[in-house]
Amino acid sequence: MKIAPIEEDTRFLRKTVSDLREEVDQLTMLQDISEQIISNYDFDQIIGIFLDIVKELIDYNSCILYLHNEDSNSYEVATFRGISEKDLKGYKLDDEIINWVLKEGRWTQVSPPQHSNLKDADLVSILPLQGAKRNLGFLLISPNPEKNIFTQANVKRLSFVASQSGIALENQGLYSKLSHSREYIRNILESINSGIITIDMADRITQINKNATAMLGLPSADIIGFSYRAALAEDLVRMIDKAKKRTLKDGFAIETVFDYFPAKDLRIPLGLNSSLLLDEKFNRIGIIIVFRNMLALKELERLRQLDEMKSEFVSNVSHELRSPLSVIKSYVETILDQVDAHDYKTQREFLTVVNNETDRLTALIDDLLDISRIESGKFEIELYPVALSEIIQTALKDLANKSNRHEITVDIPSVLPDLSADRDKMLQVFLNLIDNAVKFSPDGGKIFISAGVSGKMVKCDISDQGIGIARKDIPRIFEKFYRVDNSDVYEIPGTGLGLSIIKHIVESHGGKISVKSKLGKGSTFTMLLPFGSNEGDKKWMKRKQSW
Amino acid sequence: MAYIDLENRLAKIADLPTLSIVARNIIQITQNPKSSALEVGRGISQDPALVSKILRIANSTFYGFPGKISTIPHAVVILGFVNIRNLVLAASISKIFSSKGENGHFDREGFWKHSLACGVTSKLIAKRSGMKNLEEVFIWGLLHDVGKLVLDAYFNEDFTRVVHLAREKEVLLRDAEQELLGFGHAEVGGIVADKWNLPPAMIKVIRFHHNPTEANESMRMAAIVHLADVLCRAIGVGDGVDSKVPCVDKESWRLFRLNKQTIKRLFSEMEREIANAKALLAFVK
Repeated sequence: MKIAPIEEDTRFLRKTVSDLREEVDQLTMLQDISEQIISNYDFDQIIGIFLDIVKELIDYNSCILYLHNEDSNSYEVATFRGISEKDLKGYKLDDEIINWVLKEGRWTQVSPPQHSNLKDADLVSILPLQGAKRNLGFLLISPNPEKNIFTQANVKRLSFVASQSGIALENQGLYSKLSHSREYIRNILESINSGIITIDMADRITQINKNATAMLGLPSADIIGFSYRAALAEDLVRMIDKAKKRTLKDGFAIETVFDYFPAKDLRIPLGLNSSLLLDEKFNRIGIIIVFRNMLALKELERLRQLDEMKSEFVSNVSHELRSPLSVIKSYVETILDQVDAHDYKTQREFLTVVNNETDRLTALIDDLLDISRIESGKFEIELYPVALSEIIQTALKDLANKSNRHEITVDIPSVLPDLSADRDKMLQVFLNLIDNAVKFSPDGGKIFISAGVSGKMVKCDISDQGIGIARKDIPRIFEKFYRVDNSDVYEIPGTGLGLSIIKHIVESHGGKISVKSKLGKGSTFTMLLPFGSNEGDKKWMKRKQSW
Repeated sequence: MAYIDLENRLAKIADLPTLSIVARNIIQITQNPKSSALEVGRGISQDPALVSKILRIANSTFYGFPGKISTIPHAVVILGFVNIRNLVLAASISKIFSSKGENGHFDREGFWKHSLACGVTSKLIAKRSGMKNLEEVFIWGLLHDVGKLVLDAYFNEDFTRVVHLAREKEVLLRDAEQELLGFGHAEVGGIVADKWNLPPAMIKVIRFHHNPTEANESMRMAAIVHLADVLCRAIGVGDGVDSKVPCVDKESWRLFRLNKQTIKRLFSEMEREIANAKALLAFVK
């Protein structure tokens, strides 16, 4: 057989030249169209445009797009055209062939899958979709058998479109990962209890969480992109400037606390610390500034202390209840078992002790009841004109057998207006204060009680020469449950309730109580108590106060 | 010798090798973008011996297709136009030279081993740089030294002296060629490739594979084969007549961002791929 050399066939050569020109034009057009794909970040749109262009180029009957699923490490159907869902299964190709084609990375026609409706002669084709480094998937195309589509031109065009789509899909994947991680960080930022602001190296705010907006009293978070100098209040800018200077020098700034005024009459103590933000190459890209509301922190600290005080109180009270009971029990036992039935003198002596201890218990329980009344707002006083001297005398009489080592001097002018007071409650105040003066002067000493008129009040001082109160304890001794910790020096019983009850009683009378003291030198409690109306109003007043 | 003089001198040789008509036709057909697999198949099927040769290699482990390829059109749609054209071209060229110039001084098997290794390595280098049409790159490497075959077959006496000189003085073949002939295998290869109507890129690669920077806009292509040539000589695959390793063109090295580490990786890839390409040796020998 004689074979004709084509190079002598001028018609063929001319056609080749014209086909080549057309090819260049088509590829140029394709390149323009593909910009639609490559500049797209929407997954469905990329796929849609890709399938449209493939359809335009080779007019397929149907196609199925498989994409690689990283989790299952397999290729799964992403979308399909021109085929029903139930026929999908029949179009599953042998994995070995798929892998071979993907390795070669070329548009390839192979025999149709066994269970498809296609004849053996109707080749299906596989168009690999490849990203920069990995296989993303492939398009299984079942072509129109009428058309002779496997030409070099189509190989080139389809490869081009597929590679553009591959890059677009990869970019889209990266883009969505990026926005996912941005959202993730955003969520973390928002759920942190502190206020957070980040700024870049040009002082522009790059990130701000809701807590920062709230803490700093900013109208909105719309200050991203603005310089913090322009967007934030002057005093805040000053603090950030300082922190920034430190941070740029050392890489961080430790917390400083300052008062911030987000609005008139609103003061928030804010803690501010900051550190450098670096990128993966350790270039400085900005600063993160963290704000803490110290008010909340202080409140927390107060509650924690209160809790501690309550626990201590329970243990004190238990101890205070237990010790008189033990005394009572042992004395009663002794009377029953060991004291002669006719030895009335000893019996009487012992019973006196029992009686005293019972009084102590009663006083303690009264204190507890008082505090519970005060706490629940049921503490009531009834006001009558009462003479201060009478109350003091009664108190001293009651306390007479408590101590003989103390010299108590009372200095009250003979003419002193009557107080308008609840006699029992006021007696309780004086009993308690004088008892304290005795109790806290374990080595004895002088106790002065003096009174006089001061403006519209009666001023009354009770001084001792006892152990005194440390300066740090003075502001707190009227708090309920507060006990000065002097256990290492003296063992003085108490519940830490007395002074707080006194303060409440005095204040519910419209009076004031204060203390001056020096450690080791003694204390002076000063009360200012209102005196009654001149007519000596007999009508009593009832006051109800809650603490 | 000026290139134009060389061209004239070669043109005068009446029986300068020509490709078979089938190969020439396939080159023409594959240069038309609208040619289909069927047309290529029809072109090849005019040479039944070639058909069976191609089908044998198409089903070999070199391509490793998991299935049977039973017709040439089938081979075209699976292996692609470029692969099939490469096979036709390689078969035709090896056939031209199989009967000519064999005189023992020039080791044909060693030549083809080196050429195959260069083809494979060119592919690996091209792939690393992100190129897609790797089959085209393969044939560049495979045919880059075709000028040596021409010299051996048509300037046998001269070429024998060149080979001796290169071996005795332990110089590069191309330096010996310049010294004795005033021209080299690269220029000769370029002229023959042009005469055979091979694609323009292929002609440039053959002509400038020693000095890629002179290939101007085709420098990247010539550089690939240049680097492959040097790397194959470095690991001593096949026989390029001389046993010396030529200097690497610095521009090419820089262009492909090669360094010690990438070369190390390339060497291990080369070893695997060259072993895999052995099936092709029987095809071209």
